[in-house]
Amino acid sequence: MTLPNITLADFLPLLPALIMVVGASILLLSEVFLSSSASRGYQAVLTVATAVASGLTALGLMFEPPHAVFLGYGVLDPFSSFLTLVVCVGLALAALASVSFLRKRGAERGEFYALMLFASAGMSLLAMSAEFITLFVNLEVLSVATYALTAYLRRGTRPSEAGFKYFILGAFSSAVLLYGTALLYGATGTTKLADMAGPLSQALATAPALVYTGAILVAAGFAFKVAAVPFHMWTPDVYEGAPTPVTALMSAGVKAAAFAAMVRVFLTVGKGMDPHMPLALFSTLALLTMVVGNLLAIPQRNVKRMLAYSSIAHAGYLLLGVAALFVTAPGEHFRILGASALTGGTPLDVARSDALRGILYYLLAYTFSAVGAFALVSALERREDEDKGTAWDLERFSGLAQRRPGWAFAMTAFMLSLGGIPPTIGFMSKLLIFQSAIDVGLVGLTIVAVLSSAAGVYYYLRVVVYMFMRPVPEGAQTLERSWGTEVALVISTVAVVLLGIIPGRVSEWLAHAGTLFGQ
Amino acid sequence: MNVELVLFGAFALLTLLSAGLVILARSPINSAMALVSTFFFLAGIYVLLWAHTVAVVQVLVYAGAIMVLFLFVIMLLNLGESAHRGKPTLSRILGGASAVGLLGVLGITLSRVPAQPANLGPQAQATFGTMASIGQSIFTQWLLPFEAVSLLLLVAMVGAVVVAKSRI
Amino acid sequence: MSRILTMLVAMATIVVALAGGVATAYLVGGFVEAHGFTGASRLTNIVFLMLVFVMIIATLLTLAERKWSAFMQDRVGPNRARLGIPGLKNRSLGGIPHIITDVLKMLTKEDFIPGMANRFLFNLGPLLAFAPVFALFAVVPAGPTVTVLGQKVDMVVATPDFGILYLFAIASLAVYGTALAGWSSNNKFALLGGVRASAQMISYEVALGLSLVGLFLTFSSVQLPALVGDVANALSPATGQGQYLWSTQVFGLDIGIPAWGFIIQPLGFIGFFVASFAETKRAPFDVPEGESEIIGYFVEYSGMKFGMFMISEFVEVVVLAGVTTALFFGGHNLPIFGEALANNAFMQEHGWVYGTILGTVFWLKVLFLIWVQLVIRWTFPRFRYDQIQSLGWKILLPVGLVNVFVTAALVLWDPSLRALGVVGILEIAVFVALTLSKKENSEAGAHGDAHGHDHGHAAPAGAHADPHPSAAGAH
Repeated sequence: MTLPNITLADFLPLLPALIMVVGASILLLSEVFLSSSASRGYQAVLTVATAVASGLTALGLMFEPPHAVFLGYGVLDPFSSFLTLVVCVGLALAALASVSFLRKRGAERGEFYALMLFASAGMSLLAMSAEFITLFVNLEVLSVATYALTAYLRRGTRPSEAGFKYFILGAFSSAVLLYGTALLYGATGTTKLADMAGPLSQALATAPALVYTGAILVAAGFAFKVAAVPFHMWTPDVYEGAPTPVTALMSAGVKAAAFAAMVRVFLTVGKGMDPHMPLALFSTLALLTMVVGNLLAIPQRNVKRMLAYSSIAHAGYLLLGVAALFVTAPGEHFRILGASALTGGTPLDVARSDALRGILYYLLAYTFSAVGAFALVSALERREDEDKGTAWDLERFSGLAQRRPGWAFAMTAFMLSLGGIPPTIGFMSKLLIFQSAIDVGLVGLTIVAVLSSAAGVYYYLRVVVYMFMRPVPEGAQTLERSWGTEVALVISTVAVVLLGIIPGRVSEWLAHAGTLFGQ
Repeated sequence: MNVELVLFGAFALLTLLSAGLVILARSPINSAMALVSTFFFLAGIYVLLWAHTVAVVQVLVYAGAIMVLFLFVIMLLNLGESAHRGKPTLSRILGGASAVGLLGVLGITLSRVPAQPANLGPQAQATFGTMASIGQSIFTQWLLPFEAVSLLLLVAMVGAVVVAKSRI
Repeated sequence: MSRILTMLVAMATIVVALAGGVATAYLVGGFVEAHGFTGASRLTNIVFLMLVFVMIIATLLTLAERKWSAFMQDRVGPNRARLGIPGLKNRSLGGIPHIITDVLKMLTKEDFIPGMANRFLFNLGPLLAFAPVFALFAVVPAGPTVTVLGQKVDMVVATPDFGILYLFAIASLAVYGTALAGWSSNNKFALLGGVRASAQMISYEVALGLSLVGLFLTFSSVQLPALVGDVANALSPATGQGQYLWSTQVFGLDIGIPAWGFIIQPLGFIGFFVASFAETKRAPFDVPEGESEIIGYFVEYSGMKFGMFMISEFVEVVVLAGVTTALFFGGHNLPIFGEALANNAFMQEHGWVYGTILGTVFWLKVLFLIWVQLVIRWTFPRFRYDQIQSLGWKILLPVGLVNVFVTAALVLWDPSLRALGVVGILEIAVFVALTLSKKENSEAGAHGDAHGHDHGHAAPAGAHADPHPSAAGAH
């Protein structure tokens, strides 16, 4: 009997996830031997160290040639490695912000950090999955971990509501995704993404309804995870109710991993499909998400909720990048022609690679800005105000510039970056995405994107206005400092400002990461 | 008329009967027990389909472990018989309609399936559904998803404990 | 002295009876194979193994248990029932007539169903408790495969591909009988018993399955006949537990240390034995019954329905002993001289004699393990419900996991199983050392205590020979 050959090399792409799982296991096991009053300062440090180790491993893996592993059930390519890197950045920053957040609530437990690590491991694995069952299981790993994290602080109504809502809707969306997968499997007889394209084009001729229904259901399942309109309903409530560091991780990591999986699925499987179908699908989603997300964010006075809606809006810009991947005739733009002449690739390849790079860079930029912003929100909020609903009110930011100028500067940087104003990383990433969309001819959609991001500037700058132009309110609480939050803020501020001006090494990595296996 | 056909008929009939009892029984305990026997007879059908391992795992996991937990909970809560019955609410009408619709779709699909069953061939039959062949495919071909499932179970366990824990 | 003599006679009788039974089983099996159809011996095996051996041993156990408990408590035990046959009129016959009285009592007692009970489930309960237990023995091989009358005859009812998983699957169904009996009786105590039974089952089930994984890894099979294995002969090398770890020849006879389960898998053996002891619901795991506190899930049952609960418990004892023998005590294999016996020309000529000897060996091992269970049952006090849960989840489960990892590593490192054997023997040594050190402590305590109660022994223990002569009374 001949057995398929699986070697140790196949486990290489799992390394970042394995490091995180080992870290989580150490946290879980060490918790067993601690009394409830023991000091738990090491936990965040261990989590950050694990994230750094895992991120460095991912960085190393990025320069491996892209290839399939585990008989095509997974892949190792620069795209997935870069994504793991983004996840690790988000994880490290969120873990740093958790220190004082949990300590203030007396809820420091190894399980919290372990679940964060598990969720990140799931994200990393999701980015490298190249088969539907693997993909689904890994998606569940990260979902289940984030459900539990959302309901981690059960006291009070908001966390319970958020946890329950997220769990029910998340389970529903997973079922939708699974159903779509089943239909695609029925149409093609395989669950491997790479093997699907061929049978799919045949199935498209005999049973187009089956294929399209399957594809739309799969897209809907992912759209829920990335919080695209009209699957965004859960986002504000869950983001608001979840512990703020968890919200940070969700906004950065879950979104990044789900985008990665979505891009991989539709690029690989979509080869067998009429490309107009995913193009129309993602264009519509992008249009709705950008406009609705920004419009709904404008009236929010609750900063955490505002950031939730802003996260929806950013999913819209990312979807614009995804839509740009599916344009088959990229047009005769001189930049693309020049690049294709330089590298020898077809204009289509160049345009795709640009769009992929845009998406990855945007995810990195969003991770730094959003996680930083959430870290600051968590530094300002107080447990006692949560049930009253005033914990995240704009008023809290009044006069912050006088009380903590450093924090105010950091928040300004994050808001400018989220709004897409130079010289921040947010501007650069938006520029990349919009450019790649224009290059392939999605001009109308890009104009909408620019207009709606201009509308977004209004609510981002409002926070800045409150910080710098409002007086300190009477009887404001003292702002406690904690090393974790400070470090997180410093790192993200430096990244947001510096990477916007001198991308340096990151642009090198990025230039490398625009390759998806099998493209 | 061979033995397999007779056995299949018996198992199918008993499965249908017990499945019907699951939804028709008034007391939850009778429902649960009917579900156990549904699982049991389904396992019989799996055996006829050459899926021995699936059959035994079905009995072991569903009938033997999961349903015991169900029974445990029903007994512990001492659930009584369902009081409101027969009132046609909107959800009931919709549920019934979709069930009938599904039955129709399945019927149409089945009528289109070719009458000749797929032939596995003697070579496939010798190892098909055995522990060894299932183990082989799990630990070679499906290794990655299998290990991912182990991670998923661990995460679910930790998550359940965290959410249920009263200390925080 | 006469007691010892009686015991020796009884033991000899037992050996002869067992050998006779096994020989009959083999000969009849060979006969029906030769004159009936292929596979007919499997049908006669059902009769012999499941109906004759298991049921008769289980029936005798109802008496043996009471006798042994009496022995351990320095009583005489049941001795009052007499047969009205001339010549035997005034002899207690070791209490054997009590079995007959028990059966008569169960059959003739009123079959009472409580007023508000769920009649259907109340009647179903004993059946659901008995049937799975009865079916368990089907996969246990009780003797080697030999040639009788030119036909291959084996001593097992079924050899499904999933082997021992059948045992787990069917055994896990038995709890329904208990739980349903408790629930349908409409009695608070019975309900408590039923709930306790399902809670207990949740505690040990996982540890039970995990404890055997090491054994599966060692012999790369889940089928009991393969796990039991055979000794080396001219045609094939030794397999399963028929192998020797280390062996040598003395005067042409082979002696050595066999690769029996309890030697190479001591942790697995302990985990399995404890977990399946909990499965039998006998002390110290008799929380569902707890006759001194809640009487148990069968408090409302009477007559033959109660009898079915009771006999299923004893059948479980036999099955557990049989399975443990097959898994951890080499099944029908002899510890030494196995190869010499198998390669003997006479034995090869007369397969049924060989089968009879080894089959008797199997049943003797079973009897030994039954005796061990009786000793345990009458030695330990009842565990509390939470203690069983911590035992299952906090001790047996981690131990089982460690065992799986260690076994996998050792088998990978040394496929000849010798490394496993060394580690196993070391583990056994540690257990013995721990037990001995504990014993010294407790003996010192018991010694001081004994002085105060010394006069207690003077009481005529035989006088109260079991105030409730029926097994029903014991519950």
